Amino acid sequence: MPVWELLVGGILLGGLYALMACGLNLIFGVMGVINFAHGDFLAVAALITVSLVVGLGLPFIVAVVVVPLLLAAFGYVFQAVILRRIANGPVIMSVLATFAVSTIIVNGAILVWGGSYRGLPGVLGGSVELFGLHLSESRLVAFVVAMTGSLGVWWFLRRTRFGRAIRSVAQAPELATISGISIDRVRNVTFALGAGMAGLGGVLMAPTFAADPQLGSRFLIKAFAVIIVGGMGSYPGAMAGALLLGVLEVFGSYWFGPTIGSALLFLVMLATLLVRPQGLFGIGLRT
Amino acid sequence: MQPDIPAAPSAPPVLELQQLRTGYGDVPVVQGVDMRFAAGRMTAIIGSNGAGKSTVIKAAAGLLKVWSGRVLAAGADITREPGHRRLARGIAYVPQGRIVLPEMTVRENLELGGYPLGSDRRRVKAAIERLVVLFPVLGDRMAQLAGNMSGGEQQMLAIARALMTDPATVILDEPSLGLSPKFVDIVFTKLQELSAAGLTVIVVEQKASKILEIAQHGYVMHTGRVLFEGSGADLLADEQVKRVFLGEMPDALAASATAEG
Repeated sequence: MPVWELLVGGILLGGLYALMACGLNLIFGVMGVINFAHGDFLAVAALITVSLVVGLGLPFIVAVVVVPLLLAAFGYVFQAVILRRIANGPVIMSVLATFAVSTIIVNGAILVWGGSYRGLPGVLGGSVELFGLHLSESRLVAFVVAMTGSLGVWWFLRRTRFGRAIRSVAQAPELATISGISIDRVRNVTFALGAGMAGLGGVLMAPTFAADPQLGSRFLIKAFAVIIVGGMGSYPGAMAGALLLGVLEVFGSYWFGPTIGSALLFLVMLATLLVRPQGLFGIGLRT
Repeated sequence: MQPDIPAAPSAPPVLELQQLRTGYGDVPVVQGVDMRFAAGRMTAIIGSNGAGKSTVIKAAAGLLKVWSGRVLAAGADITREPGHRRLARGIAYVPQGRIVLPEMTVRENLELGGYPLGSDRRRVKAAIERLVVLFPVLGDRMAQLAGNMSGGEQQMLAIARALMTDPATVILDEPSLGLSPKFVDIVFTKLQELSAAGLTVIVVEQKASKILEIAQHGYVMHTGRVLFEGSGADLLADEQVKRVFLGEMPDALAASATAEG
């Protein structure tokens, strides 16, 4: 059994999950919003990447920079215009709002790109030899950029003045307010950051996985599994959970085939909910 | 008699509430309150549990929507101004209850209070150094997690954090709550020192007679309204205030009110 290949493959996949799950968890931790459109941000980002690179012939690196910014801008506007107005309402309102945006994005994407799969032939198509293993270039680049992005955001949250402001809003909004921090502004930036991370995830997966407008829900449910196993609201938890589930999925697919391999994630998620609902590092669901 | 420290006659009060009404949800709690807080003075707000004391200052601090009436800061109408702008007007607030970020260090808590100072590390550092002189207990605890400190130390940290931007006015919501008698004395002495140094102090307190001894001015609230107003000494001497709100009674009243509510 090629244990090392599988392990490395799982970690590489986990890197992408980490970027996606960290953004989702950041939004949840700071705003208490479960963003059902998160997967669709990723799908649209992947499709825009295909259009930029295949349609317009731009270099892939342009997409890596531009697409996350586009998604971040969209996230900022969505939060500032819609979510902000219902921030003090019951949780179900923000759930429905993000669900509505999810549906609009999926249908809009079908209108623009059609319903079929689109890939990025020839981009990062080579392979790299590392420690005697042959690794796909696209997966390796995706992993390195995704982990750099996730760790970069973590550093920003822990070490910068505005990052601390974000954390203080997550932990004690009233204390943040009396310290002169605008909660609205923090929420706008947080949502933009989370959307941008989903956007980067979409760009990075485009060379490896073919994208279609309905890709989002498939990825979102995996991201939920990751943050439940890692711990809702916990940033390191999301990273650890992502790597763990990435490895689990790859090993499971190898042993039992891809159908059961994916299902394994959700078995682990259910087990976590039953046995350790706060997750590995989590603060538990808010009451 | 406590001497009043008079503001210049023409200067408007640093903070003024006019016919303020507010509450939670659609339940009215504060029903038409007028208060004036003069510069440099310590003002106490006392009253039984549920009188609306904390609610009044929450609204004054911009944390609660004002239903009607006005909040003025040095004459400017700030009724609709969001709460995070109060510090820029020199008005700081020390909340009741969960008063520090337990998972952050003492230094990080202070830095949070210094958020409006911007990203200039030197200004933040200078502010922390100034406060360590005022609160020596914090000096050797900078790297400690705030959650690991005693209740009294956390209260000191909360007050110090509110003073990071060197505000002219500080509003405190029951700073003695849950503290040992020794720490209550320490906190009240600290408030007295700060007031003597020129800080305008507005303090809501359950320990009524103790706070009126050191406050120059006081308001007695009952069921969402101001019942009495006067100098600390006058209120302490007032027979009616004494009978209902001071001495042994208020603790008994408070206890029964807590038990009911």
